[in-house]
Amino acid sequence: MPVLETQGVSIRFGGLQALGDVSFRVDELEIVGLIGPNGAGKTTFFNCITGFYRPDTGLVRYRGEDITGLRPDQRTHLGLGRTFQTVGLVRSFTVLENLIVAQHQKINYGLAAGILGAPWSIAEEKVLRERAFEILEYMELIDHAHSPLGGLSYGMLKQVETAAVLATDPDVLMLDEPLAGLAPEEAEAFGDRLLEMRRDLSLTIVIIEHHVPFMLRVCDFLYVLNFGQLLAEGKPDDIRGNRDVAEAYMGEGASALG
Amino acid sequence: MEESGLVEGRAKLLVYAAVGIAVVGLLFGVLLRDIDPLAVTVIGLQVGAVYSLVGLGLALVYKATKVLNFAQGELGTVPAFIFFLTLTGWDRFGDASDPTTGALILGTVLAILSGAVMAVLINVLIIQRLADASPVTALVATAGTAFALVASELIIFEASARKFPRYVGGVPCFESNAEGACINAFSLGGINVPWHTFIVIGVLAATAIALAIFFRTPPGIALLATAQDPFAAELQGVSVRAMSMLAWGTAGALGAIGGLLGAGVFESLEPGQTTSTFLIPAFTGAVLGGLNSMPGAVVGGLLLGVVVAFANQIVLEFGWGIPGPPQVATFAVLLLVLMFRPRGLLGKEA
Amino acid sequence: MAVMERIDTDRTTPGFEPEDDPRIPWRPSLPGIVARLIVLGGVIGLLLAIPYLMPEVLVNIASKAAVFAIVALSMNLLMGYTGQVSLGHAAFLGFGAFGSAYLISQSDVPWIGGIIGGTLIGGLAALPLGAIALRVQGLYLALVTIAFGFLAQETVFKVRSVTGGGAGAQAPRPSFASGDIAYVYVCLVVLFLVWALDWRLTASRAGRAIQALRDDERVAASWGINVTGYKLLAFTLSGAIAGLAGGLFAGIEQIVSPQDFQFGLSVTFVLMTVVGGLGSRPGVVTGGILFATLPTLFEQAHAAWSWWPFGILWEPLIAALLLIVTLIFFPGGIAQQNEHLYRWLSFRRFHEHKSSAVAGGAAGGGEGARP
Repeated sequence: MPVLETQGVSIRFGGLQALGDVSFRVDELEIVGLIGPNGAGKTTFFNCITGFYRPDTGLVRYRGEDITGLRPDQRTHLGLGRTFQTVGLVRSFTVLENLIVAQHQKINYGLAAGILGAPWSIAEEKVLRERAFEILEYMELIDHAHSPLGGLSYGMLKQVETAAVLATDPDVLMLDEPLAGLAPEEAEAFGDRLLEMRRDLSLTIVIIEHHVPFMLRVCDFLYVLNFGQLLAEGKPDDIRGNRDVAEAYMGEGASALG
Repeated sequence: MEESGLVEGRAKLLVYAAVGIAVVGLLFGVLLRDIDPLAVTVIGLQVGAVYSLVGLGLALVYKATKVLNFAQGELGTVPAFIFFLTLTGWDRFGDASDPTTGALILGTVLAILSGAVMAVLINVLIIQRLADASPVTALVATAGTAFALVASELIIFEASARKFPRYVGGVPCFESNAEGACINAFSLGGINVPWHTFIVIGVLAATAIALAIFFRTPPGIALLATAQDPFAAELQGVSVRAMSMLAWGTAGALGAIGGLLGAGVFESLEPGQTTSTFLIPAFTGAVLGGLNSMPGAVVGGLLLGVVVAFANQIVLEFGWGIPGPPQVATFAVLLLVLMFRPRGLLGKEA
Repeated sequence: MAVMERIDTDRTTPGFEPEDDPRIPWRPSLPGIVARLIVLGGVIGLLLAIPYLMPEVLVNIASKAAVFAIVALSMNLLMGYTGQVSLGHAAFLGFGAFGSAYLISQSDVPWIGGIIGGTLIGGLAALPLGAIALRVQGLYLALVTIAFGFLAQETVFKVRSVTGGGAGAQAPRPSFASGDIAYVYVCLVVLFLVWALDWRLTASRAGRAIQALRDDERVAASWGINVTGYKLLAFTLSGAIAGLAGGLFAGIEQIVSPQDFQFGLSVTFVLMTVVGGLGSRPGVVTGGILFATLPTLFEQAHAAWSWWPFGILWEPLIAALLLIVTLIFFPGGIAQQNEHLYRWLSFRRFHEHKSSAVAGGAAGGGEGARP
C-alpha cells in the first residue's frame, strides 16, 4: 500500500484551474520529487495534501485512509510533516523553544495538569527538552540552541525548520523548495543529508524543487507538473530524456534535461 | 486556509433562512404597526449622510495608506469646536446661536482647514513613522490620538454640551396661512423635513461629485496609482509620502465637514461627540459598502443610516425595551457583512 | 512514527565544558540567589505595606491598581501571547462586574461564588468574539472588538433587569474584607494567583501553543496544534481573567454602572499593556499599576505642588501621548527598557542575549512586541 497517494485532485481559484486531476503515489521509504516550472501548482498541491487547501474534487489517502477532510494538525498527528517556502518557524522563540513547541502533539499531559504544575507534567517537560537536544545534536545545531532566530543565517534557519519538523515525529517528510537560498556546496551537502535521514530515521520523503540535476540525483521517482496538470511521471532516467518535460522547462526545441 | 466566509454549506442556509424570516417579520411589523417607511427613511438618510461623510474619509485613508483611522471622528469634533469659537468670538463658553453669514463662512473655512492640517500632522508625525509596523499598530496609534484629542477638548472646553447652530434652521415653508404660520401642504410622509436634512444630503452629493472629479485630475490619479502600487508610483517619480499627506489632508477636510454637519443634526456639541455618535456606524457603513471603495462608503453609510432609523422605530413601536438599538443594528450589520461578503457591496476582492 | 527512537545519540557528541554545555540550564551562584531574593523580598514587602503607607482616603487606588494589573495580564494573554488585538476589553471587565454584582446582590450568592460567576461570565462573553476571530483577522477584527465594546456598553449593560440600567448595580464586598485596606489584600492575593497561573501557562504546552499562533498560524497547524481550539482557549481565558478582575473592580466602589466601561477604558487597557511591554508579565503589571494610579497622582501633585500645572484632566492626554511615543520609539515598552532587570529578577543571567517569550519577546528589536 502506498504511504501517501492522491487521486484526481483538482482545485480552482476564481477563474483559474490551479490543479487539474492530479494523481500521485509515494511508497514507503521512497524519495519522490515534484518538479515543474514556476506557477505549475506544486505548492498548491502540497497544500492540498497537507490540508491547507480543500480540493474541489479528488481524494488524498494516507496509508489507505481517506484524509481529504482532515485539518492540517490532524494530518500531522498521522505522521505527515512539511516545510514551507517561507521557512516555517515561530520567529519570537529561540531555536530550542521552537523544537519544544514542535513536539506539541507528543505531549500527554492536559491543560489543567500543565497549569497546576502536576509532577508528571514537569517530568514530561524534561523529556521534551532532552528530545529537543537530541535532534539538535543530530542536525549539528546544538551550539545555537539558545539563539534567537533573528541572528541566524538563512541556511541555518532552514536547518532549524527541518529539525523542528523532525520533532513532530513524522513518517513522511514533505519539503517545499528546501534548496532555495542555498549555495551549491550547501545544496550538495543537503542532498547527502537527505539520503542519510531517510536511512537513519526511516522516512519517506516528498520534495518540491526547481534544481533539476539535484532532483535527478536524489529522487527515486519524479512527477512533473505544468499548468496544474501532470505532464509526466517516471524514474529520473525516463524524465531526463522526456521531450515534453524539457520543452516545458526550456522552451520549444529542447530535447532533454540536465 | 481557503474559506469564503464564516459559515458554509448547511449552516449558511440556516443563517440565510433566519435572516429572511427576520426581514419578513419586520416588514410585516412595519405594515402592521403603521410605521411610515418614507418618514423613517428620510430620518435615516440625514444621519446616514453624516455616516457617509465620515466614512468617505475613512475609506480614503484606508485605500491610500491601509490604515483604519480611528481619529477620523475627532477630525470632525475639533473643527466643529473651531467653527464654534469663530462664531462666539473665541469665547469658549459663549453663545453660538444666530450667527451672521460672514461668521458662518469664515468658521466653515477655518474648520475645514484645521481638519486638513490636523490630519496631515497626524500622518507625518505618527503614521509615517509606523510605516514598517503592522496596520493594527497604526490603528492603535490613531485610537490613542483620538483619545488625546478628546482629552484636550475636555481640558479646554469642559464636559458640557453647547448649542450648535445649523447652517439653515427650520423647515422649508412652501405654504403659509393667513396668519403667516407655515402649513406645508408639501411634506414627506406627514412630517416636515427640516432644511438641514436637505443640506446634509446635498453636501454629501456635492462632496461625492467633487471627489469623483478630483480623482480624474493629475494629483487624484497619482494618489490612486500610489494606493494601488506604491513601488511603481515611486519609480514614476511620485512621492509616496506626499500622496500619503494628500490623502490624509483630504480625509481631514472630509472629517471636518462631517463633524460640522453631524453637530448640526443634534444642534449640540460636546467633547468626543463625533467619535461616540458617528464613528462606529461610519466604519460599519464603509465596511458595508467596501472599505476600499469611495462610492461604497457613500452607499454603505446611507444604507446603514436607514437601517438604524428603522431599528430605532421598530423597537419603539413594539416596546421591546432593548437599549441602544443603533448599536445592536450596527453590530449586526458589521458581523453580517464580515461573515457573508467581507469585501462589501461595492468593494473589489483585495 | 519513530524518528525519536532512531536518532542515534552515540554519534559524535561535541564535548562541552560544564559551563558551556547548552543542555544544562543556567543557575545563578549562591550570592546571586541571595541578592535576588533580597531585592524581590524588598519589592514584595513594599507592595504589601503600601496600603498602610497611603493616606486612608486614597487606599482604594491600591485596589484599583491591583485590578488593573490583573486586566493587564488578561490583555497580555490575548495581545501579547496570541497576537490578537482587543480594543473592547472593557466589555469583559463589565460582564464580570455586572455578573458578579447580580449574583451577589440579586441572587444571594456568597461573595466568592459571585466572583467565580463573574469569571465564568467573562469567559463566556469572550467566546463569540473568539469565534469571530477565527475568520476575521487584523484590522477588521480590531473593528469588531471596538464595536463589541460599544454594544456591550450601550446595550447589554443597560438592560435594566440585570444591570439596573443607568442607575447601576450594587456590588457588596465580602464580609471578611469589608474594609478598604483588607480589600486591597484580597485583590493582591488574586493578582498573585493570576500571575502564577500565567507563569504556569507559558511554561506548559497550552501556553506555547497559544504563542505559536501569534507568529504564524500555518506553522502552528503543521506542528499539530489545533489552531481553532487554542485561539478559542486564548479568548476564553483572557475574558475569564478580565471577568475576574471585573468582579473585584465592582467591589471597590461597591456600585457599578454602564458608564464605567466606556471605550476610553478599553483604550486605557491597550495603553497600559503596550506601554508596559507586550509579552512581558512584569512589564504589563507595571503598566497596569502605573495607569491605574496616574490620574490620582496627577490630582495629588496638582493640589500639593503649585509648580505642577497638570490637573487630573491632563492625565488622559499625557497617557495617550505616552502610548504614541511608545509605539513609535519604544515598541517594547517599559519591559524592554528594563529587560535586564526583569531577567535578573527571574533568576536568569543579567546579560543573556536570549529572546524568551517569558521575559518579553522584544529582544529582537521590537518587531514582535508591537500589537
